[in-house]
Amino acid sequence: MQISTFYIKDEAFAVPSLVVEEYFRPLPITKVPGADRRIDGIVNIRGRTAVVINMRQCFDVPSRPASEPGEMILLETTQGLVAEARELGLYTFEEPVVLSVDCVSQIHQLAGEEVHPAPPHVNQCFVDGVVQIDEHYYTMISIRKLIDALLNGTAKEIPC
Amino acid sequence: MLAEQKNEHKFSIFNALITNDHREFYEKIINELIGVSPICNQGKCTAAAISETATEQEQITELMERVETFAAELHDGTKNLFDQFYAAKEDFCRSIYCTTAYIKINLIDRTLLERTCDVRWWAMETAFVECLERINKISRSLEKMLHEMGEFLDASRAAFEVPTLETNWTMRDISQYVDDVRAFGTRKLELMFNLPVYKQFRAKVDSLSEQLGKGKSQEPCLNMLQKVIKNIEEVHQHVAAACNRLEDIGSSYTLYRDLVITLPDGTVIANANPETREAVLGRTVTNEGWFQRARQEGELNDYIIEKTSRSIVDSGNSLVFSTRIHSPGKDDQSIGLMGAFFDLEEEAKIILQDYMPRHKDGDTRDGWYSFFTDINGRIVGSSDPDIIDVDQQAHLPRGHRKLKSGETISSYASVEGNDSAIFSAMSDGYLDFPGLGWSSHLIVPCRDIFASEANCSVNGISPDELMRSRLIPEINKDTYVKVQDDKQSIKLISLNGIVFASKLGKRGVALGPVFEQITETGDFATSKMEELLREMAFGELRLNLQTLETFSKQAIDLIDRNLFERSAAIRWWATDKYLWKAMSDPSDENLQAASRRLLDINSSYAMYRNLVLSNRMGRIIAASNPELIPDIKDARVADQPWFTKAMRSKNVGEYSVQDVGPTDLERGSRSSLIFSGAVRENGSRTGEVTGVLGSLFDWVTESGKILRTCLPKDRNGKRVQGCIAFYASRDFEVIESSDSQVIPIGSSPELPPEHRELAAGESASGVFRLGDHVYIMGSSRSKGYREYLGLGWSAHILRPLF
Repeated sequence: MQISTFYIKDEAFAVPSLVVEEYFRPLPITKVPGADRRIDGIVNIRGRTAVVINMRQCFDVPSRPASEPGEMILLETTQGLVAEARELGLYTFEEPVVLSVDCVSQIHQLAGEEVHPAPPHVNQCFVDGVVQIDEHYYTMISIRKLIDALLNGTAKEIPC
Repeated sequence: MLAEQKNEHKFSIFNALITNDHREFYEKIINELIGVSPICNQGKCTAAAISETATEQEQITELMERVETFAAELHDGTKNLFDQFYAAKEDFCRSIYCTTAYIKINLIDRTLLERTCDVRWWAMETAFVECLERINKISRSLEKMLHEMGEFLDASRAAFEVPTLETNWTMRDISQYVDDVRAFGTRKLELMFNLPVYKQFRAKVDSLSEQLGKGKSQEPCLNMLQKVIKNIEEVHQHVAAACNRLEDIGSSYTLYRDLVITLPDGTVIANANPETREAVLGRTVTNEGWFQRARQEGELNDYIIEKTSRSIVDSGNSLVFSTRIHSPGKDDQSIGLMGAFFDLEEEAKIILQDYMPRHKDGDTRDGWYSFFTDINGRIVGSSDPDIIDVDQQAHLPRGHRKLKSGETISSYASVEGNDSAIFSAMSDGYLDFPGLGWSSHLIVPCRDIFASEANCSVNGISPDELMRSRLIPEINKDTYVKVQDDKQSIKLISLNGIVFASKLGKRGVALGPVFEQITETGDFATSKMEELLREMAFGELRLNLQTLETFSKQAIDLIDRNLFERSAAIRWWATDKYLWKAMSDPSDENLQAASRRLLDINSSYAMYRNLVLSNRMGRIIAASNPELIPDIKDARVADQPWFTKAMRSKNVGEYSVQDVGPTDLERGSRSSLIFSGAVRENGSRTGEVTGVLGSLFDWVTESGKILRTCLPKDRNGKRVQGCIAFYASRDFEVIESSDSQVIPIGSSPELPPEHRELAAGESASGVFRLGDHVYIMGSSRSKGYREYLGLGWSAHILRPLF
């Protein structure tokens, strides 16, 4: 399996590459009144509307300075998932969702590395576990938990 | 030769100015980018082969096209970047080296202004006026006396033709003595000014007088001889007095090769240099340019300046300042001339060899030349006379030969086989000195201007911090942001490609290497560009540091030169007749005369707050501005360094100086820098010290003025905001500051060691953090100037980075 890594502040995170549809530079965001603080608003990607999830907010990290625009990761829709992804049981939302992150990093091929449970001090809310590649650790984001908490529910803050 | 081509100038790798490093650099980037096209074609072919649907193929093809467009943009970006890089360096170097050329000519102008004051001031010295009045008078009557002496001698010879009983002398015998003396009748000038000749004459006269004394009725003739001798000896006394006075000046003002006084007909009657005196006195300068101009134009101007290198007075390269000497109240008629031979050769050497980069062994770096040309384009001083010949016509591009006052220009030319840049600045005079129309030229090899800064780093600042600083022009900052942006864009493109390929499963494997290659190429090109940008930033930083070093050097040089003048003046004034007279006989009349004299001097030299005369007990007995002293009656200076040092001095030509600080002689603890010289009994050279003359230099005003002229300016000549200049004493205490809010006077800022541990004349530069502020700073330590050794001060110029 391939994973795509990215950074939020100084910490490295990852999602399976198969749930990524496209990376792109930040687009203008339209704010949605009354939305959860972890939702920045919506963007228009080539005619499709996507909800933008602010990953900093999700991990209670202070906002990015205005001088750093960050980057965006567009997730596949449930429909767009390739067969391999379905086989692996990967989960996404029905509608386009964008993760707003600080910086997209790399793509790694996992060769037998295991996803370990996250250490207890990690905020478990949106985490599936931790992967070690060489000397680096990557926190695996749980797309399911993220979507359940922010989009499937009534967009209330659900305590973990 | 490459003309100035900034506007039509677009980057070309074939331009001779581009360094080999950059050619290689450029080639690598371009090669990588050229490689993108075949890779993309390969990607499109692979897409056609593996795609199952048209959409898939379209998606891959679109990705490839984006990569290609992007590579083309990078290609243009690289060219633009190099363009900016060279234009920025060119621009900056033009500004810094034109400034350096200007500083050099300005230093000359400042010195020359002082010299014009010197000669006019000296010409008013009563000793010279009295001497000239007497000698002119005696010279005129001596002609007649010598003629009469001849007649008397002839009469005596006739009287002796008839042998008398009293003598055994024959006609032939006395005739020989008469002839010996008579032969001197036509050698008036030699008798007056050539002591050996006079001595021969005197011996002959003595012998003749002895013989005549043996005859009868020879008194008229003997009286005549005595009268001639008396007059000639009076001339000798006046000459000796004038020479003595000139020597006093010469030993105070060592920047003159010689000083002469001539009669209106050009006969030199006195000079300052005892070594050449015998050869110079009595000779005429009537054929010399400076004399002819001074005699003619002297009526219109109060002084003239003429360059000479073949005077009978001095064969060196001099600039003669001359002025006519008048009897008091008779300004229409000159009684003589004064000529001061300023040592241009030495002065030009000091200035021209300064502000040049050196090898460790002290030699100026090859290919760097600095020289002055006069209004006709003739070289008047050169940093390397073996290559740039003095007195020859300078080989300069046309534009550099017709500058306007104060104008600067630069262009490229080949000089001595080096591709070089020439920076020229024309004098615009200084204050009321209009300048001589001279220009200063600085030649810098192109290889040094465009030297690679690839491995440059400066302690105390990171490349990113530097990139954000105020030093970096907006256009470069924008490019930096753009390159980083591009870097990220190309990364996203290839990541998208890889993600896309991974979703094709096994079919996508073939696309993998294509995207890897694109990632690599993109990374390479953009990181190279970042490197170049950083090099550019460090280049900009280095030039800024160099500029600050230049300005700090200028600041310390200007103060050293100014204080040299002060040290020369005090030595000369301390020998003034009115002062030692008041010391030996402190009558009210003499004290008033001394005070008047001090006021006279002070009114011509506005840079002094006060001139004070102290007796040997340390009591102030006369002052030019007594009202400035808080408690003049009780003022005692006996324990002050300026006084004690002067009391201990051994002879004239010595001076003392008391470092900047508060003094009892000023109200409100205003800081003063005090120079002092000993007043000696009867004004003699090594006589007992009878008092001390002190001059209170107006430190606060004058040093502030100089500091302000040394603050950095931008390309439009406007002062850069937030810059600070300050002087620090030997103990690194601030003694003057252009911004006493940030750098207060009396404080001791924590200077980095490399700025503290400077040897005399050395400069350093670097990053300086003061509180929350980050500055770059240039520092230079005083090396003194001629006999003014300096007080170990340093000058520091700060420019804010943020």
